Amino acid sequence: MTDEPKKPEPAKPAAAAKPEPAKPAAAARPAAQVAKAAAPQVVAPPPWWRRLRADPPVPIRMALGGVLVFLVFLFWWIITHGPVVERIISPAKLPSPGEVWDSISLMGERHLGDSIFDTLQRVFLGVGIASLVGVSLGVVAASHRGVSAALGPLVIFLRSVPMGALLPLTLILFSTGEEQKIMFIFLAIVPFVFSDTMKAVSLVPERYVETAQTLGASRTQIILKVLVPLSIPDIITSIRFQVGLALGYIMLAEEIDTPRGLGQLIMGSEREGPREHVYLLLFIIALLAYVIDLTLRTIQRGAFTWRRDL
Amino acid sequence: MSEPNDKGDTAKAEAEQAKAVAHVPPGTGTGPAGGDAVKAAPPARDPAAEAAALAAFEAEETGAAEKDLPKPAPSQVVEAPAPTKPVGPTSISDGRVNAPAPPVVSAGTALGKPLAKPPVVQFDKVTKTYGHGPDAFTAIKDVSFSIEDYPGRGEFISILGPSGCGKSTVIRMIAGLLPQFPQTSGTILVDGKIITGPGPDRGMVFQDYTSFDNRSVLDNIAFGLECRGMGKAERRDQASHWISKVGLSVKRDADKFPHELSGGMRQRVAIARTLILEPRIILMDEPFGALDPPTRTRMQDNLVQLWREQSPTIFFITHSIEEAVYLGDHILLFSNSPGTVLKTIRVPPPDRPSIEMQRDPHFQETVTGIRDIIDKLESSSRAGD
Repeated sequence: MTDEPKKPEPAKPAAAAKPEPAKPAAAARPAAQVAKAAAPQVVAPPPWWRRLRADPPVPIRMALGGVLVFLVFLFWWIITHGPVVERIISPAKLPSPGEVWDSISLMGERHLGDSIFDTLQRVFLGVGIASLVGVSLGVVAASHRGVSAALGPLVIFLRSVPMGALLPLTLILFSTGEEQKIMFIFLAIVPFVFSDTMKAVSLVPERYVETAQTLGASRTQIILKVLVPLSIPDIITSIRFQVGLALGYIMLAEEIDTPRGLGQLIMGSEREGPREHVYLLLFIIALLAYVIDLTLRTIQRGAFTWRRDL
Repeated sequence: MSEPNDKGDTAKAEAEQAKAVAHVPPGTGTGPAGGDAVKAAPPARDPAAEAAALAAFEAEETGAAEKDLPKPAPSQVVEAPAPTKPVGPTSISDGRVNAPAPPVVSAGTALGKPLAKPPVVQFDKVTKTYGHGPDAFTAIKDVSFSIEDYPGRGEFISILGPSGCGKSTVIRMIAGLLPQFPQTSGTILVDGKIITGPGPDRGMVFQDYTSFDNRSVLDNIAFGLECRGMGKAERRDQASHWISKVGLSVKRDADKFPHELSGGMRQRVAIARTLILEPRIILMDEPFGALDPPTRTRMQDNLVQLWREQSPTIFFITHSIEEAVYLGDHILLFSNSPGTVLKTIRVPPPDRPSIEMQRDPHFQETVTGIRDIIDKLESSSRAGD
């Protein structure tokens, strides 16, 4: 009781006035003086550019990104500017931005929409089957390490073979039909989905397993009610990443004897023109990949609200 | 059901009278002014009083030891379980599973009628060694103790000891969790039977937060029931009941996820999740270790209340002597590594809220007394080694 008024007086004079409501006027005057003398200067926090790992505000972030894009296009425009004969760089190598944009009108004739559909179908089928097989095997292998030991060498082999080298194998086995492309994606993706699943399941802390055990969960229940639900967000992150890679692999597969697809389209544009389409398709494919990833990520975030870090 | 157990059991009351040392009848703590009770602590620092308290303790302890310890506790403080001469439970030889009426249970004197039932938990010369040869590490050595089964009233055993002395090893052995389980040698019996692995009859609350992140509070609490195959409506109903029992709000907290909870709330969920299965034994490994003091005090009171209602046998590891003294009937005092039970101390069970009881000068004396015993034990055990 005795030391209570002592403490707040130098620091917070306003608080000191409260315990003595009997003589507020007398207490207030010296308090105000103290406040004036010791009034702490409000110090502004350092701006974002002086802090390590601090993000700039959103408008500045967008502006900074936009500046670089603008500069690239400006450079592109400058070197492809003017009549064809006077250009620094031949239009056969690099058409101007305007020419690339105008060539979009020719895309309808070349079945751009159908090509996108066919390509995405192959990607999603391949990744889908790879996920089913990879995730279920991964969960089993992470839980029962004997399975992991048995599958280990095969998985290491598949992970170590360069993707392009798998292509001839699938061509021999499946000729050049749809199965070949889907199997190519499957073979390229499945070892990685498997490994990532195993890792995600293994990383669920042991204390959750122990807790479940002391609550009477059986081994199957621990797998289905603890290990899988806790690791599934990380598994989906892996699959999302593999979709992006699969889009790259399919371009490779579609360059060989394919009736329709984005890979066939971009290869054809390189061989037979129009050259503008090579550039145009690059933008389209990049945009497609970005939109797919964004969609999957949004779904993932919505489904696993308990994970803050997705 | 929730009738104070110290009255429900005459034998227990007798026991309390028998020690009577540090025990204060309820009401004495309410001094003239509540705030002044805190200042009443200094007398405990008076050397004379301290010595008296300690002496009282020793006396009490020795008395208790006769009843509880498997071996005669001499007046020397360090009572290492002498491996050379097995004085203790002679009828239980290593490896033999069932010891009909172990002689350890000689509690007939003051602790109530010995039961035909086997002890709830019995350790007999339990040793755990990891590795082989020169790299072998012994976590606990010749740990022996026995916790009796009283009808309708589980014991509360606080386990105190220095870090790394094998307290957790003992608890995890009872839980049946690897790699501490199984023991290298000795016998562990729970209800007279050998443990084969973890089970819902031995609930465990860890210090780390182990709420399942993907489940809401309600579904976390209902986990064990779900594993038993109970229907959704029924288990959710029971879980809601337990949400309020551990001091959470059904309305506000039931649908929250662990990342939205504070540490104290998470531990409340963990306690509810364990108690809903009505385990015979609850093992708590420093459950309140990471909580701030006010939360801790509230959790202690909540735990005492739930313990009274359900009467499980609770093993409670803590580093806080105050907590051990407040919560426990027994304190198992462990030595430095390799851990062994140095002493079993009986303390009065909690009969008032934690804050109130801890203000009590007699409580402070008890704590000081135990602190002295620990200091003494540690210094002499160091000298002994």
